[in-house]
Amino acid sequence: MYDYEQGSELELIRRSRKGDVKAFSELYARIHVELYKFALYTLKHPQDAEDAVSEAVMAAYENIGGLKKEESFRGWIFKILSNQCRKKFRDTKQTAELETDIPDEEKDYAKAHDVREAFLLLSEEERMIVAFSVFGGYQSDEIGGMLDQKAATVRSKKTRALEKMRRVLE
Amino acid sequence: MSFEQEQFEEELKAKTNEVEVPDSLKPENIEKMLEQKTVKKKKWKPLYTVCAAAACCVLVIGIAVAGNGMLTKNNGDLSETADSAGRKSSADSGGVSVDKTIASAEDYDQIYKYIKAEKKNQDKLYGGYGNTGSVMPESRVDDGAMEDSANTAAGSAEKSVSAADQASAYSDTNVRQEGVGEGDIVKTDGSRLYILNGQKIQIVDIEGEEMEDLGAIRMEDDCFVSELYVKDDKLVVVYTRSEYEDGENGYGGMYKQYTVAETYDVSNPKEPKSAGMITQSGNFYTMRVIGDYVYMLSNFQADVQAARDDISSYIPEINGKAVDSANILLPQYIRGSQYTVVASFSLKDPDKKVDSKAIFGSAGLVYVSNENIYVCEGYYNSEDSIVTQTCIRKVAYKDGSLKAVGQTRIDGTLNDSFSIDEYEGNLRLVTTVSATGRSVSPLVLFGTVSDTAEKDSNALYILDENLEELSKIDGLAKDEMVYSARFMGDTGYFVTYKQVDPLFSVDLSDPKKPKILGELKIPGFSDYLHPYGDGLLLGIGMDVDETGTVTNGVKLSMFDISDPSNVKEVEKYVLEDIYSSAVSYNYKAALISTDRNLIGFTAYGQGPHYYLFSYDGKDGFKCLFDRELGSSYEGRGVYSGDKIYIVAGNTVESYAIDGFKKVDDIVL
Repeated sequence: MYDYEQGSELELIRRSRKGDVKAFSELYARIHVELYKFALYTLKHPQDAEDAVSEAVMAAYENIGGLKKEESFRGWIFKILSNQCRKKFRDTKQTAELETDIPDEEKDYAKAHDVREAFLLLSEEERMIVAFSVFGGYQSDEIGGMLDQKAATVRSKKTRALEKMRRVLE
Repeated sequence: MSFEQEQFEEELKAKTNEVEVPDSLKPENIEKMLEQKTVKKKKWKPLYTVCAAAACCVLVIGIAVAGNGMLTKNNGDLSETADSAGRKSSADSGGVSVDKTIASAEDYDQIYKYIKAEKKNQDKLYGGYGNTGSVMPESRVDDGAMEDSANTAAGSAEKSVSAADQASAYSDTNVRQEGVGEGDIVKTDGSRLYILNGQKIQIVDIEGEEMEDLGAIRMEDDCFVSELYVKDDKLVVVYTRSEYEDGENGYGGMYKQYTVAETYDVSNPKEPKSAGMITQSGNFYTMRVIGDYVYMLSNFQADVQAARDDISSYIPEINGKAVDSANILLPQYIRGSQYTVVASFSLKDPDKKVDSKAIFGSAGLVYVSNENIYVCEGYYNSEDSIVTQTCIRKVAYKDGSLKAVGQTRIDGTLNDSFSIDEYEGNLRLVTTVSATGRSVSPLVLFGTVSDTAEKDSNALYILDENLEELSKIDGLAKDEMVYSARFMGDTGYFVTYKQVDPLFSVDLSDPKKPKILGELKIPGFSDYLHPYGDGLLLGIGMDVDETGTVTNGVKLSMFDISDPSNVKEVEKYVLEDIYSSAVSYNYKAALISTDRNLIGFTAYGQGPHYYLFSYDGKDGFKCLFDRELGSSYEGRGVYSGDKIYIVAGNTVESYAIDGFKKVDDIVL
């Protein structure tokens, strides 16, 4: 048996490209907690987060041939996941438009006592930026690359977002 | 980032530590899900047989095509097939033009149409993930449509014939093609080192025993510097920059990336002066320098959502001017979202563009020979072909001017730019051929859900100067993939790998009748090959035990190729506990000089190390030098005169090549 747990990323990617499910699962296992957290705090509903991760994993598995040699698996699947999250934003917006006006409880700052709720005070874009930074460990320039934005803009947006969160968490 | 902010982020992270990943997302369950998915697809077989019967008459052409493909595929006994007629019909079937002439765009409207087609395709793709389990033929379309990452088989950039191999006083970057210069993060002109260090380009005098820091060119914070090139007191600094463009009503603004080649006059290295720049849309991909002419290549991603009149969102620009439609080369299929943008300029007049071309399609691997630029894009469409394919477009260059020559499409994908090579006007390629859409191959239609449908094989092609097929050997090394290749004149070598590493040698002296000469099987693999003097070929890769399960470390192999029909591994050296070498990813990380008998590269164990080896027939490989490199990941070795310089991040150390005694070090 090939020792998957000891396998280098490059070798695991090579095996995955050939359809080796185990190699792919090992790549996934190494970062799955970060991926789930990213989705959980970016999207409103835990169910959406679960779906987004599983859809992203499927997409990644089917398209691992599209992973360039010099790219890291981590950055690549994070990008796929962020696209899935954006898609979910769009979908929820469409359904939300059909719903009647429900008083927006999330704006009630007194209730926002935990991190998840603090996240929900942010705009969708701010949530992604903070999640990329906190759960993905990405720098502003890398986040800029994934969201097609300037590093300086990402930096200032992040500062503003963290400021908002801090106010309600402290 | 402020300290408080950092602390707060740490706090956030700590507070979310309790998060429980739902069961369905646990790795073991994801693994099961993926396995079931594969099985489920196989179970379609009975359903498909019914469908197939129903659709039989409609599929006559399709079956003939697939049948043809299967026959050649099964023809595994290394026999070549000169099937030009058969292949053409197969290529024609998919609505993909195989007209060998490249069409230029008539106008931007035409490009816009392609972009919209791409958008439609992408929408279909995203819509498709939800119903992966359903037995809808559409899902095949989705699988095939995901070609636009166009990575062409793990293809990164390219690799080398070493200019450093020439008896030269100082080393040059290890390049793909002898005579075609390339940029890198460290360059030397023999008397100075030019070092890319974050936002700074450091210039270090190396003429004396002690190195001298001459100063630095400091780039703006928003410049992402990729490479340097130096020639005759001209230093080209290549970087990518983004610029904000407002959207309508201040909403939906976008950042546009563009690549800049800024040339500095460094005749007075203490005061470099900017002599001009060329800008082009997209992220930097690679650069080439031949004589005084520089060819800059970038990848530009069109915005598929763009409005028709928002031209700069889907047409690349050079020096702020949209590329003329006549210089946009259309792909073989009606759809596209990415460009390989090529612009040329002269070092003597570095702010004037000489010529440009935008190769529209999906972008991919580029190989530059001494006269031509080949853009190779992966094409995976299970409706067109049962196997992965590569679209190749050829653009000739001379003294800065660019001319479209022709195009074609072949089976399989390229590992890297060493898998494609021009020699005496002909183009030789080795590709790995896989089924499209993996387990949903239309081969299921034949009721043969056998393994062969999913197994990779490998092919060798020889095309003439018009990209017409001269010959082909297919069905090589079943279930293995090309890991490295090297064409050397009339002989080609390539390594395929699954468990043991066959090194194939091919006689190419008659381009119409290539012949497999030999096949050497050894454990492990080489993922970089480099000629090492008379009758020797150096391989750098990994040592893996006979069962293919335990990786022992980075391996150096020396092959005796004096008799190509009887290649032998004469020497091997394993770096234990070193799990990868930078050369596997980037040929420029290698310093190889047969003249000086030096093999240098960065490799990773607990941390990055720089190694230097020598080789001789008596003692084999000898490790001359092993130095741990602080924190920097990318190290380079450069020699000039009797010294070798190890550059890593902001430190440079010099050693006497004779005896490797340290001479000096400098922190920049």
